[in-house]
Amino acid sequence: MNPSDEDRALTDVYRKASDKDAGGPGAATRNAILAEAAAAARRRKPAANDSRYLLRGVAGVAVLGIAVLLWQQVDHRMPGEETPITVITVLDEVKTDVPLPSTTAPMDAPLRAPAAEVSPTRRTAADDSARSLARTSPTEPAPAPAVEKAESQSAAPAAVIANIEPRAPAPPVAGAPPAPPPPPGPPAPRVFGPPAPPAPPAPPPPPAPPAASAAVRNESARVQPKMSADQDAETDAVALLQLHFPQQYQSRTPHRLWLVLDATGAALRSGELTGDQSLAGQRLAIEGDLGGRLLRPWRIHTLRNAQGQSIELAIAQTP
Amino acid sequence: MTSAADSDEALVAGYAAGDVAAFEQLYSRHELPLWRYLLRQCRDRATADELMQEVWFAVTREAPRFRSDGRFAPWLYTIARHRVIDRHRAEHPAQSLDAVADESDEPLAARLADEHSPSPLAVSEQTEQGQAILAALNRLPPDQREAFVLQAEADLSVEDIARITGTTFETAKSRLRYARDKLKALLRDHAP
Repeated sequence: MNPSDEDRALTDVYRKASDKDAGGPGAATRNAILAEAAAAARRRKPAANDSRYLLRGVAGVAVLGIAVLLWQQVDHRMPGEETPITVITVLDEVKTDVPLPSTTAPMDAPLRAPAAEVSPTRRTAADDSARSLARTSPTEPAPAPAVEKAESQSAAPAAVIANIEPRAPAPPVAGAPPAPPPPPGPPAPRVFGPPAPPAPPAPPPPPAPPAASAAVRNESARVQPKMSADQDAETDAVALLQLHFPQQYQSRTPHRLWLVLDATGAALRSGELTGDQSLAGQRLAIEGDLGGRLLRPWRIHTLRNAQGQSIELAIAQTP
Repeated sequence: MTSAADSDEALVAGYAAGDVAAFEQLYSRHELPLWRYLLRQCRDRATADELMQEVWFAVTREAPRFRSDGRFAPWLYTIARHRVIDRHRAEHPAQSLDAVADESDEPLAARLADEHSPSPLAVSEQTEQGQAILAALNRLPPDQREAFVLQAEADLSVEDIARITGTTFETAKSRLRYARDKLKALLRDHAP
């Protein structure tokens, strides 16, 4: 509603009349109001230097810190839930990335690691895929050639094979539904006569294994002896990550971290590489900070934190 | 035009944080319009002074709970209006200032005002336009008088008047128009 000129004139006349007629509140009223306002402000504002508030603040911070520490000590996993840590190793990538034929190659069986070395809580997606491959392998329960049966009996335990080599026959994973019964079919021809010879001679390789398969098997054979040591190192790295970088361990963004340990394994220095900082450049600063002590070569671990983010953790030790 | 830093709302926030100077600035800004609004509603200076204290004491208590997205003036005048109504109910427990069935009906307060204020005709003899308009204002129904005083003293918009008086925009606009029309007619009669 836009006031017209007449409306404005009316308002002006009223205001002039009101100024002459009304005046304002008495001085006592004004003083009482302002005094009450000041008193109310004083009542409301806590004295920052009051020791009560200081003690309450300190106590509150202490309680909060204790609560956080307790929370960090508790294992938050639900019953039956696996740890969210996922360690990706070179071996896993080899196992999952390259398609292999479903035939079993016994030549690398002795090199396979024992099953006990692979913790059930460290099971990775690659392991799961290996199990599923093992369950669906045509050689597992069924009408397989006798040659392959004999190889299976003479090779490492099936459980070991299931954990390491996706294409090896293996029993179902504990807790998984049992494998379906074998489909009916003609009995397999036996090549070596009586069953289960104590040490059957090494059979010739399958008729036409692809060249890529052989190459990957060779790669696996080269990497597998290191697996146990690698896994231990990765386990240690994850533990160090949790211990020394709890925030980054729960972070939703990737991080590049470094950690310097002394000869006993105690942490001397730690930090994070930001932006375009390089580990080499940081090394000089760290060695200077440590009084010129030379660091051993960095061990760089690429890990996944609790949120699945990539964490690059470089660890060095002083002699 | 006040900047954001010294707006009413910023001053209330400052006072809520302990800045007494902010309150003094706020008070000086609204002192006269609010007091005159109270005076026009209750027509007694002593009562206006008492209500003034009550309103500003309420402001000092409620300032920390003042919503930062709200506007101060409508909030202040809403408090003031409630105090006026409370005071009237305390003095006249069986009657209501708002007992108006129709805009054309004169409520009790207007009839009471007639008994104590000179008629416009009598005032017009004084040839004092301002006195005449104040007398005419006293003869207006309370709702119309309140709408006019809120607009003329506190410079509030129709939306704010509707919010303060708890009515719709159209009702507030209608009350304001009735008040202006009656006062303008009086001004024309007393034009020099």
